[in-house]
Amino acid sequence: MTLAGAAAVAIGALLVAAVLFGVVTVVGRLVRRAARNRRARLAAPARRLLVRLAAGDDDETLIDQLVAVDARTWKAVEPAAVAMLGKVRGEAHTALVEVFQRRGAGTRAERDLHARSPVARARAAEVLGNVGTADDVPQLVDLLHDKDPDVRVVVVRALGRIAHPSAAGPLLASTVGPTPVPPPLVAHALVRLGLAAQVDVAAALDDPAELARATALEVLGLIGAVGSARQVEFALRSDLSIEVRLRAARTLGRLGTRGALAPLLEAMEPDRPPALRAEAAHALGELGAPAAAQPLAALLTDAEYRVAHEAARALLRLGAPGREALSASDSPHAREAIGIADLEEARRGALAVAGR
Amino acid sequence: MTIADWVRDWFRVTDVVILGYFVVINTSYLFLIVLATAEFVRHLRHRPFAGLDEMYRSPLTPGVSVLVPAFNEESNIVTSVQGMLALRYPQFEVIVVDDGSTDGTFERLRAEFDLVETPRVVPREVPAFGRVLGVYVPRLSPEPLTVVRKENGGKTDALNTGINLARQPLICMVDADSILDPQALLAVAKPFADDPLRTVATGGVVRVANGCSVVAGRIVEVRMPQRWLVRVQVVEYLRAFLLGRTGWSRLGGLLIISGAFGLFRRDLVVEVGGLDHNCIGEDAELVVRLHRHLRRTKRDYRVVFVAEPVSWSEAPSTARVLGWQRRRWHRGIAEILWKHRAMIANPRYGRIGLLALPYYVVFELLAPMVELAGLVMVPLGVWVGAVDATFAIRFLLVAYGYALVVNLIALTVEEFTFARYPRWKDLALATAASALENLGFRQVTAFWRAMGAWSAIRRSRQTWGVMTRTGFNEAP
Repeated sequence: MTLAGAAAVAIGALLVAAVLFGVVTVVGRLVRRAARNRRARLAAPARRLLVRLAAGDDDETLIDQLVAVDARTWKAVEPAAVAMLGKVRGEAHTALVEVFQRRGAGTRAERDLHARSPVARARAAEVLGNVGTADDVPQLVDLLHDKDPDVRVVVVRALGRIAHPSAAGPLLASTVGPTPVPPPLVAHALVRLGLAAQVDVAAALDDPAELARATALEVLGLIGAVGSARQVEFALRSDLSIEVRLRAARTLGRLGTRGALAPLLEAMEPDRPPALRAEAAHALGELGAPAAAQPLAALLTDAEYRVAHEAARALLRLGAPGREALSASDSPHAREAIGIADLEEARRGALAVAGR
Repeated sequence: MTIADWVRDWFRVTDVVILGYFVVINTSYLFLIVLATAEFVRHLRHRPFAGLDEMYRSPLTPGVSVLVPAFNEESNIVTSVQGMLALRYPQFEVIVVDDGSTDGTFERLRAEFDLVETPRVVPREVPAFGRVLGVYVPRLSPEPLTVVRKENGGKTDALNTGINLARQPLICMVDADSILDPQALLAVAKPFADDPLRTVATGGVVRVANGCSVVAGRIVEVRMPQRWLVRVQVVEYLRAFLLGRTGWSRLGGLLIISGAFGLFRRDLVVEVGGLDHNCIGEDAELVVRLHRHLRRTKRDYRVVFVAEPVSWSEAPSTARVLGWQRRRWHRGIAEILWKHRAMIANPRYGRIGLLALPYYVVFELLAPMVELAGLVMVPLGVWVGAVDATFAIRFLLVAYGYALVVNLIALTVEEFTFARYPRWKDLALATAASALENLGFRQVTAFWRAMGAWSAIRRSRQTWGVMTRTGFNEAP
């Protein structure tokens, strides 16, 4: 075939393709709109029941009515019901979970945890996170090492929502190994477990993996594990990893124990890394110990921007001693902090006036 | 063989080569669209368990400093900032850097947010030359807004000033005329939350805001713009920005994150020295420099493109402004490729060096020159008798017909995935704009782009031109 002939064939093919894709677009839009309207029509009565359930309606037959809804209607209304699960709390949430359980959602999800499709496994884990109980934790823990990273992420979140302490150890272990889960996600899940996870989390401070220790420290601070303060102080003083020490300083600030003052002051000494000094200064502000005012004031003229900046902000939190130290300094960081304090005071005043 | 025969042969060969180029470039678009479609399908299937709500509630979600460089943006700035302050994100601040505006940009902000000057120490972690004249915050409301007034120094200088002032671990660069979907920041930050050790930058989709209705900084109704010049850009943005960049992201070769909506790890941006004052395509240059730095230091990293939700920006509505924009964009590409020429075809830089950068040289940098050459050489070939007139017409029909089909496929993908334009009329207009792009728009923009490349070669003075904003279509 000549080039001209080939071009003619190509023109014909392009014309056909243009018409084809035009038709596909138009027909696709028509079909999807029709399907959406049909779903909305089907879902409408069940949706009204859902709204009443979420609003805390006293009608005791609501759950039975929703369980009795036929499969087609439930399929249409299920996305709205799932969305509601994440939004409602208390009795409404419990009632909604009962609807899902009685409709067999939990059983189906348990079966789908072993599906071949990673999307099906992730969806099943998501459902179990919403409606599951402590009995589902072992199965979900097995999936913490799923070969698909998206599934692992969904499983971590699901375990966080179920919030059973038995998941703490496996969650911490999942941050390392050949199929790791991002530490912040694990940390958030552990925070949802609360103080019940403290023993397992504190044990991870001895883990050889830096990521596991750093995650554990972050969690201990967020759950307010004051019982582990001594171990955190030890980590701040002696851990070889700067990332771990940074988190230890932050955690001591969050825990606010009296014993944290000395290690934090040590961490601010000039031979320590600037990032650690800044974090320790910030933590001293959270701690709110007036004894920290003088050492923090000495940092207002530090050559490292972040150190001086955090020291000034920390002084603001120390109340009168901090404010005095700031007023006595001619550091620009002190002026900045005083400016912020004045603004916040003005805002509080305006709020009080508006409140009256 | 006579000289005339040589000339005819030369034209014949050249014309066939140009035709081949058009076929290959459109096939590459098609390939990227296929990759993007696979990514969209994955995205839509994962959406029910994406976990955005949990990310919003997590105390560990990394904070974001939204940086908004502004120069003479009085028509849009208040609406944009209102929208940004209303973003759904657990911890963020908005830093508007007024880069020496000569209009009422700052006054509008001061009036709307009751700004008051506050002392602030500005560190110099990345180079910024324009003197900071003052830092302002809302007087009585606790909104996380900071407005910096500085001497004019250009967009790069404004962004570097913003980076210096940013207090959060992530920085989001947004144009002052951008309107972000409420969930946009959460979505674009999600890769950082899901994979914090590897994700270094994410880019969000930019769509055309012209014609859409805006209420309190939010897009409430999506419509096609009134003018054909902008309608064509809607289709162009869809094919090149949404589908093209998603395809490149899937390939692991994303080179461009638009300055209109990009999120970066602040520590890394500081580590590479901030944005480059000497490059007019500073946003894309930053991404290439990050690739270069991270590959050289052998770090495992990801640069990700997020297809949804989006940032809406006002596209040029006059030929003059469009011309400035396209000259600037192409000059930026030329400067970046020249600056990082050592990476091109260099196996040390993996897919970036062996695939993405060579593609940009052949199918981005050279594309306008080949397009213009085709417009000149094909008629000349016919004139000297080297090419048969019928063949020339078929040649043009294949070249532009293929481009039209690629556009229609892009529209089909949009319809089956995000379907942002619900009106039938808009679908018809987009289809017509897909054809119109090939009848005049491409040729004129090719000329502007070639001029941009030429100005990079001549190293003439860099100018931003004036982007005349008409303001958003504020619904009552």
